[in-house]
Amino acid sequence: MKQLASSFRDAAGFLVTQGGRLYRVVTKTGEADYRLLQSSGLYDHLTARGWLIPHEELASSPLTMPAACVLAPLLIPFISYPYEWSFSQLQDAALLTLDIQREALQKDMSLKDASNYNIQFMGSRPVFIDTLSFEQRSDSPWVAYGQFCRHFLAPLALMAAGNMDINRMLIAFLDGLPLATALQLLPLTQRLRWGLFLHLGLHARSQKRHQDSDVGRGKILFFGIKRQLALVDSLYQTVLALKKPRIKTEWGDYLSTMDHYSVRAEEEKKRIVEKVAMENHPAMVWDLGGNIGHYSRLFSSRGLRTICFDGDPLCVDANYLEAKKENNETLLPLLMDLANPSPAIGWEHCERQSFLQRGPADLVLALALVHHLRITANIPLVRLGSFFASCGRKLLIEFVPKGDPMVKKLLLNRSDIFTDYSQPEFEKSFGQHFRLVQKWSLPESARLLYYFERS
Amino acid sequence: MVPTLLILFVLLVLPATARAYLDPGTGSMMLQIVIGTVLAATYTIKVYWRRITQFFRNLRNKTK
Repeated sequence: MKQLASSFRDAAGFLVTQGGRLYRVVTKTGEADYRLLQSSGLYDHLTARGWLIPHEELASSPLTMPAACVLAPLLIPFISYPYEWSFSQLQDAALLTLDIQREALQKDMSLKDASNYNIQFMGSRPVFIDTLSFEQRSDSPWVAYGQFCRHFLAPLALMAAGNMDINRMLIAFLDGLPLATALQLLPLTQRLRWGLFLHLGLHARSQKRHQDSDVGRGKILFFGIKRQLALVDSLYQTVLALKKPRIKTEWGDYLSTMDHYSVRAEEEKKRIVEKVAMENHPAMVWDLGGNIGHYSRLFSSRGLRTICFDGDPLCVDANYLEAKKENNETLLPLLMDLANPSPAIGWEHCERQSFLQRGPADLVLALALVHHLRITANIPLVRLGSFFASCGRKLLIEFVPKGDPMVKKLLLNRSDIFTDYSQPEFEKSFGQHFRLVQKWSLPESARLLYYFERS
Repeated sequence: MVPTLLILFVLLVLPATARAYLDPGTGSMMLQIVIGTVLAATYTIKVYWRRITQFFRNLRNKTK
């Protein structure tokens, strides 16, 4: 039995693994609140709506340690973090947290923390996973208000102001963006919005004023349920009013301006990818540089769990909004710069896993990608080969040779130092880590598709 | 008399959330106190306004 390195702050309980399974231990300290979660009907209410992760309460503990109660929660297929989410994903996570707080208040409970790490995604559906975050409500101010503003409101406000991937800053700020920092970056026009003025502006000022005082003693801090509901509503309206900024990104218009494929080549590529999808049943597919998920959906529509990674926040957001409309529970779009993927962060580098630590996938798609990594990011083919081998067991990759119009465009304003970038060199570099299963050339194009298996 | 008052004072005044492991931050707690009344007032108006408009909407549907 091993306690998860990332689960140690809450006295009410923690996560452990034993025999390859995940369990949530409820301690004596947390037992009363957990029983209330059940008896009040809040657990049933939230799980029925798909808002809270369901679990099985085990009749007898399989663990080698004493516990008041042991829960076996439903597993999340792929763990993702708020610095990997698009604007709408973070917004939906915020709204879900507030929805849950509202329901909890009405059952006389309250969330004792409002961290954005309490939310995970089942495909494109956000779900609250911290079952032990609920405590008995009391007539005092919301203890998680500051955390909610740091974790959700501050990054969302900055994103709405124009930088759709500024939430990547959350990598550096493990407990959310400090309000003073966020305000410094927030344009004046945004600061004048009523909700942001209240919950960011006044909030930061209040934090500064009271940072050295301990007002907790000697003052009656009454904050009844009406005020608590009003606060949740105010935050809800503020988050809802934030809209995606109207900006253009490099890949946002990709499909609409796609003119580097003939119709025949495109159809043949789709046919090949579908063939690979039908002949294999990968439990987990990673579509690297998947743009708006065009090829991801050839897998996810067959019930195969697919993560679509792309470095363009507009693409990820468009993909997510589409998946939401479809009620898609097999496709999860995420923001990832493959040349600088998420690192392992937190205490002892163990609280949040790196990109590669969450692999390997069963199948990796790298379509229309390798020329960008080689030429724009300047990563040698040999290094690319080993990287893809760490990502997954099987690889379907598209090689885009120098004659291709897209590569010509990339080389337009720079000297061609990429002497290793040729078909034979590509086959040799990747041959060091993979064995070739099949190779296709696309009609009316110089591009080739390779299907590799890790050797 | 005085000890009873003292006990009452202590019980009423000291914050109750000993179990929450999060540091709520004094500034965040104080702001809620400051804006709480205004927020509650506007929220109540909003709720009742919705009820009033819903009442008139139902009335209009019935008389159609």
